[in-house]
Amino acid sequence: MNLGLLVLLLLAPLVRTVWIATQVGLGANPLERLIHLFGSAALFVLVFLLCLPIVTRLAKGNKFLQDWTRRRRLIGLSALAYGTVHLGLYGLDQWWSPKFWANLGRPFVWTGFVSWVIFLALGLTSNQISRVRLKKNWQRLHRLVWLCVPLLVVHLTLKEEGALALALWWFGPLAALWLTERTLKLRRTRREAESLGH
Amino acid sequence: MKLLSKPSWQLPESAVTEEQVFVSRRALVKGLGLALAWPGLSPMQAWAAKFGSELTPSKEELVTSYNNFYEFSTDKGEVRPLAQGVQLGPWELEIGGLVEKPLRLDTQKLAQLFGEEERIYRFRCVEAWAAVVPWRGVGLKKLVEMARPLSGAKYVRFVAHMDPKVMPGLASGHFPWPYSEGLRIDEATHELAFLATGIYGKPLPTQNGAPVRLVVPWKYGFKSIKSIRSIEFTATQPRTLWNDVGPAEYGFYANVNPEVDHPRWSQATEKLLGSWVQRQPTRLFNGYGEQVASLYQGLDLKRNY
Repeated sequence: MNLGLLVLLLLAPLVRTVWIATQVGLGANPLERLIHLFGSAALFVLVFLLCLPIVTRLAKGNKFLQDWTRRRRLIGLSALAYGTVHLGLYGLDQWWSPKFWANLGRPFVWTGFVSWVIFLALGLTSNQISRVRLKKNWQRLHRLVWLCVPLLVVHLTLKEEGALALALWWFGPLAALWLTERTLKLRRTRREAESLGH
Repeated sequence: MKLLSKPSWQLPESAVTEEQVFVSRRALVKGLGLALAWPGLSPMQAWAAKFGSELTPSKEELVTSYNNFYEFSTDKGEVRPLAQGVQLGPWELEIGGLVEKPLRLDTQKLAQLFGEEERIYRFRCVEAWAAVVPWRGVGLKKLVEMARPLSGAKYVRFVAHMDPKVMPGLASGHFPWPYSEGLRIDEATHELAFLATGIYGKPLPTQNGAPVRLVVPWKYGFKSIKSIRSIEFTATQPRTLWNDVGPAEYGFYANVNPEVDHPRWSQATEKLLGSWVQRQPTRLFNGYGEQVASLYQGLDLKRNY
């Protein structure tokens, strides 16, 4: 039941995309629209992935969330899948352009591309064998997921002509959760210090 | 009464309103072998001879459903739904600044005053998509002449309508509203510079910039400011919204140029609206080089993008 709900959640952006493509229409620039839809899908899953452990810690002992947190591999691989389609469609869109490779030099493009490369590396090493082989380095490698946040904030801000609104829309909740956890921790340590002092 | 003035390169409206006939004209000519004897086609051929290509208008649905109009939304597909039921204009266009004769012109009377024309232009957005649009409206030059700019007037500034009640995009603090644009006076008086009040034989829909918008076909679309309220003649280069927001991305000139990339994408190719992957090469000055290149002689187009 837990897993079923999670799979539904992970498939929701795909369902939405298929619904838009078949029922609403992709509009005058269909490939661009699809690129945006899959980019949003990847962001949705990525933000969910990053928020989940924090929410789980905040909701101490919630078995439901704990179960989902243990299934982060599935979530991460879903984000990678959406991101791969996003990048693949962009590649298709640019394939016939004489500047195909030059695009990689543009900050707008490479910030997204590097994020994808990170996710690919994490996806490829997300299995149990890699985990055992890489030992301590596995943790270090997988912390790279946080590097995607500033990269994608830049990616989204450049897309929006320098406006932060879209980046805030996606990463604002994560920042809010992170701050909440920090504040609570800080209060707790203070209280503990005070009670020790008495 | 509708006045129609006819420069040699201009297509009469009768030849464009029927899209089906227009699209199949080559088949007609081929089939009948009447290329020279077909009176309805000769203005088209004159146009083709002058502009070096044949232009088939994009589907009306594409042009009226995919719009950059940030006063409504930054999402091109969202503008039409948001503009539904919103009527912009008519209003009095204010023309002032360094002119002998400041004017207030009813946007509904422009056609009567200056003679209505229909022009089919290539339209090239800075975002590397393109369309072909049959506009209806008046030559900007005629309006400039009526206002009689003073000798000190070197630039023309255009300011757009701004009504937060019906334009939700104006709530974005990121943009220095109102939308404004500018042209050099020699650009504004070029015969191709156009004030459109209609498309596809109909009045401009709100999402396309009702009641009157600029059309400068050799420049990127953002120069062609929508829903104009005022036109001001100035001595110095006016500030423009996009140049203020992204000076590295949106220059004052913004002439279509395949050699000068946007920082985020290449301008070497463009995609016609409605197409999935197919791209076509971008043309310098959007294919209007023969008419406008002389305006920029001696100007470094890479530096003055």
